[in-house]
Amino acid sequence: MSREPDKGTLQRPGMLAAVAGLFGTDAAALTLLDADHTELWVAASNPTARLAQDLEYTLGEGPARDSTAGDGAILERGPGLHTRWRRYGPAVRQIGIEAVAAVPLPWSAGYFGALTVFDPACTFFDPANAPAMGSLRAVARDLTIAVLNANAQPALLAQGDHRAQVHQAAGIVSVQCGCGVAEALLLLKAYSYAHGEGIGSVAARVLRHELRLDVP
Amino acid sequence: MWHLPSGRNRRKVVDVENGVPGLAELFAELTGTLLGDVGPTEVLALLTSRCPAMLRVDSVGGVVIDGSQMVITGSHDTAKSLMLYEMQVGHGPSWDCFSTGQALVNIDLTAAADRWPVYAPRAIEAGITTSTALPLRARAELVGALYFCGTSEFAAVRAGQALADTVAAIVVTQRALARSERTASQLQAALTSRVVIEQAKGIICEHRQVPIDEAFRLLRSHARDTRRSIHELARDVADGQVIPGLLPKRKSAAPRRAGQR
Repeated sequence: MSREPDKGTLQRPGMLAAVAGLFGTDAAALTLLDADHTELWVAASNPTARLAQDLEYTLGEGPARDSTAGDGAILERGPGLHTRWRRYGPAVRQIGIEAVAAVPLPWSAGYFGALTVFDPACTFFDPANAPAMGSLRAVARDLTIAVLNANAQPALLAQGDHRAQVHQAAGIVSVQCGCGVAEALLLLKAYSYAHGEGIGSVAARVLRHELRLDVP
Repeated sequence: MWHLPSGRNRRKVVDVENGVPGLAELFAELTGTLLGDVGPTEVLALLTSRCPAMLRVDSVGGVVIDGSQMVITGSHDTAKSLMLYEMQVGHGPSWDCFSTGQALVNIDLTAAADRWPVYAPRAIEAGITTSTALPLRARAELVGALYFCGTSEFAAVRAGQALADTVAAIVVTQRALARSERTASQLQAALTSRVVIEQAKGIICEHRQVPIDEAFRLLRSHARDTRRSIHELARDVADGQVIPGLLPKRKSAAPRRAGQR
């Protein structure tokens, strides 16, 4: 099974690598969502974080989704990952992730994104160490301010992407299959899941006309 | 310690050492307004309505100014109408305080006819001979002024300025929240638009059998030719609409042979 992250997204991990470092890891991911919780933009500190982010996108379940769906802070590790997420849990453990912590990006109308750190320092799991989760919330709040700051926004957005190739591929698949783009996105995700191939890689092959989803 | 006079009409002097009763509760109530959907009018009204009893001041007025918009509240009509009058004539203690950021404490209005030729006589006529104006300021940003009619004790001025600072911080935060709300919606709209444009590019690419870059060029030039916004056009394309001149009719869904796999 080869799961490859989207190309062209991992050169400048700057900000998120710094965030990951704060929590004793090198894997952190940021996701921005629209009012309906549809994913709009993603950024990751390293390939592992991006893989985990792609898995959440493909499988439709995971910590970023749960934290913005109203659950607030999410903290799971080991077998807890399997229990909470039947598909995402085993999939992230397969790529070597043993623990996840996620908090939503807050604004007055609710949440508009989530910050996830993978395999954070074990202090997170010490019941006596509530400040660890508090620090993650504080960083999420700072990121919200930075993302909404007109001066900081362009540089920050340049550190992530809006899955351009996946959405282009969805357009192509929608014409090939005679369906809507939303259904086409589901077909791409289903193919990615069924074949254990990263969504970025699937999209790239559709764009190169190496793969059609309407042909058995 | 301050001496507390006894008697039925005793004037409870503000106690410097033991603080002002109810002050902590008012601070909590003021900062609590940030949790709800409350504007500057409510916060300022809360402040001016509580100040007289708590700080032993005759009456209190307040003003918050945001560009051309102005909010005025007062504990009594005298304070409110004097404040309004001051803003209309464009001079007076609160006006000066808002302009310079400097507090004016226990100003003798009977000796201020030179400084405020229109305002001072009007205030005296209303029975106000002494007044204090405190700036509503958060860091360098001046948002308004708080006005005490009558003589104010030192502790009342000090507590009043602390309350004014809090209200100013709340007003500035309310403005920042309103701004970030707009920015967040704009950001979501911009990112959504990017996503939809990619989907439209994919549809045009497959429909017209052109490379992705060419698909974007077709989308952009069609938008220009038909004087439509590219975002709107992309939305229609992604929704599967027929676009004469760009996507004449929906292609049949008949499967073709794939290149590989």
